This record gives sequence, structure tokens and C-alpha cells, in this order.
Amino acid sequence: MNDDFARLRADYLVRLRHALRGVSRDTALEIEREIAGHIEDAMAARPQADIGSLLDVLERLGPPETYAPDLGLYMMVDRGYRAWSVRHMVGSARFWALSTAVGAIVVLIFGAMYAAALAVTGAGILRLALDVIGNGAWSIPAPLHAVPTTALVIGGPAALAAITVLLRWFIGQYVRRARPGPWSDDDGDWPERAARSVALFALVGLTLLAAAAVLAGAARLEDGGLVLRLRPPTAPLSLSSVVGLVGLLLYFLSPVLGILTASRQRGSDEA
Amino acid sequence: MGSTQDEERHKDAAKWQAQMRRGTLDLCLLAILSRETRYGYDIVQALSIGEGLVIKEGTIYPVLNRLSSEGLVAAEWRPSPQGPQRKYYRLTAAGNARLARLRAEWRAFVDDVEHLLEEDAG
Repeated sequence: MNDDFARLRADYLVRLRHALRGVSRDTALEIEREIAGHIEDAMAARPQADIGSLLDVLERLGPPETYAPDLGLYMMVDRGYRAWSVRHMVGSARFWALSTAVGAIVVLIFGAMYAAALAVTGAGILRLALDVIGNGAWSIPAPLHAVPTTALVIGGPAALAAITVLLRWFIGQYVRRARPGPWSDDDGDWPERAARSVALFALVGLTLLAAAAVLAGAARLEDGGLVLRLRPPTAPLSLSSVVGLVGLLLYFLSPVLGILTASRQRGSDEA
Repeated sequence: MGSTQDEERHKDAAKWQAQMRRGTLDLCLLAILSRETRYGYDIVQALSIGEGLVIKEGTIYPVLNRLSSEGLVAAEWRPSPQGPQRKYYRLTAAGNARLARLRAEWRAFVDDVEHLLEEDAG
């Protein structure tokens, strides 16, 4: 085995590692180990262990960029989904957010929902503690003053549970429908279709939110620049508040709506 | 003009072949694993009959992983006679049941198509 041979093999494994960047370490190592073993086995089956044989083995295996990201993401998502492994859930969220724009949107949406639910839960616990130990230096945010303590304490964890159920459904749809396969370019474009639908719903939601802000006078162009003015809505059922609410719902429900739309498209295509 | 039409026909045939392969890959993989426990390269070799059921060998791993996550196939690392450990795949009871169902469906499908083709030829 000469230097070129070793370098060629090492280069392929470096490309594989690069394609798995962001995948959790144990998952990436397992994939790398299996692919390295495949190369070893294929070379052992050749009459000569020369560079020509290695080139042929790597050519047959295919570029790692074509199969490794799908495999890595699928393995992490699957482990997070089936084993309820928080580490793999967080890992796949990070990998997805970093690898696609739509992944970033979905992770941001679920992140915002979790942050809001955690804030409500925290406020409920804080209010409960303040009720027990008396008023101290801490206080809960003003918008939550009017909400009863019981509603905060029950509503926060209930929202957390509901978001987790929604997230698990979302991941489950991905696991069930993304179905990685050797000919995904021909027919298995569900992930791309779902991604496009998610992005479209999120974009429409954000556009409606921006339109609502303009209608309410909270955002306007002055002297060539955008001026934002935060103020409470004057009428709860004004056009701007309805448009804003629809926009907010579309934005936050875009992962679910996107998946449902892509699945319906696939169903009608198959029919 | 003629060559463009030939290219179109070739593309259509290739797409149809790819769809057939895609549709039957699960059945072939389950059938291969029903005979014995196998590792990745070994499975690829078993699939390499005729023109081959796999275009690029690396793409078999995401499929094996999916079958494993569906509980149809179980995987475990074991020492190999050559030295380094290999990931071996075997069929589970659920995989056996799925194979029996797919096999029956495949045979019925082939019979129907054969019947139609014979009628057409006659």
C-alpha cells in the first residue's frame, strides 16, 4: 500500500466526516466505521489492492455527500424520536438548523414556542413562590399580572407537553415519510416538497404580520427609513389585529401545515 | 429531432426502471436477510445480480437504517474473521411477517401483469 493509496482512502473518509459535520459524535463514528469497513471488505474481494481497485471501490460506493447527510440526520432523528433521547433530539435540531434554511425556520419556531411555554411555567412557579414567601425583589412580567396563578402553573406545563407532542408528531412524520432510499431523486422528493411548503407558509405568515404592523401604524416608512412604534392595539377586533393573528398562526403552524400539504400532494400524486 | 426523441425514450425507460427498483428494494433486502445474517458489503454483493439493484452502493445504508428503525431488521456489531468489527443485519420476526406479505403481493402482482401481457401477445 503506497502513499497515494492511503491518501485517497483518507480523503474519502475526510469527505465523509465533512458531510456528517453537525451529526452527533457517536452517530458519525458509527457511520464512518461502517463505511470504512465496506471499503476494507470491497478491497479484500479484489485480486489486487492497488489504487485502480480503490478508485473503482470508491466510485461504486458513490460520493459521501449523496448519502451521508441523509443517513446521519435520519439516524439522529430516529434515535431522538424512538428512544426519546434528548441529546439526539437537540443534535438533530442543531444539524437541521445549520444545514437548511427551512430547518432553521422550524427550529426557531419550536424554540420560540418552548421559550414562551417555559416563561409561563417559570412565571407560575415564581408567583407561587412569592405567594408563599411573600413579595421579594423579584416580580413576574407585567403581561402575566392579570393571569391567575393556577392558570400559569397548569397552563405552562400543559403548553410544554402540547408542544412536545406536536414536535414528536412532526419528527415522526419526517421519520415515516422522508424514507431515505437509493433513488430518492426520482420519486422521493417529499422532504424537499415539505420544506418548500413550510417555507411558503412561514413567509406568508411573516408577510401578513408585516402588513398588520403597517395597518396598525406600528411600522411605517419615514424619510426613507423604517420606523417601528410598539403600542397596544386600540381595537381588539380591528382588521390589523385579525391579519396579524392569521399571520402569527400561519407562521407558527407552518411546520405542521407544510407537512400536511406535502403529504396531501404526495397522496394525490400516488392516486 | 430523432436523437432528442431517443433521449426522451431512454429517460422514460430509466425512470421506469428506477421506480421498479425503488418499489422492490425493500422486498429484495428482506429476502436476502431472511436467508442469513449479513453485513453491508455482503448485502450489496447479493443485490448485484443482473444489472444490479443498486446504483451507488453507499445509498444502501440509509435504507438499511430505515428498515432497522421500522423494526424489520436488527443490527449489531460483531467481530469479523478479517479483523475489524462489522455491523451485521438480521431479519426480525416483524421483518419475516413483512417479507411473507410482500412476497405474496409480489407474486400476485407478477401473475396479473403476466396474464395481461399474454392476453396482449395473443
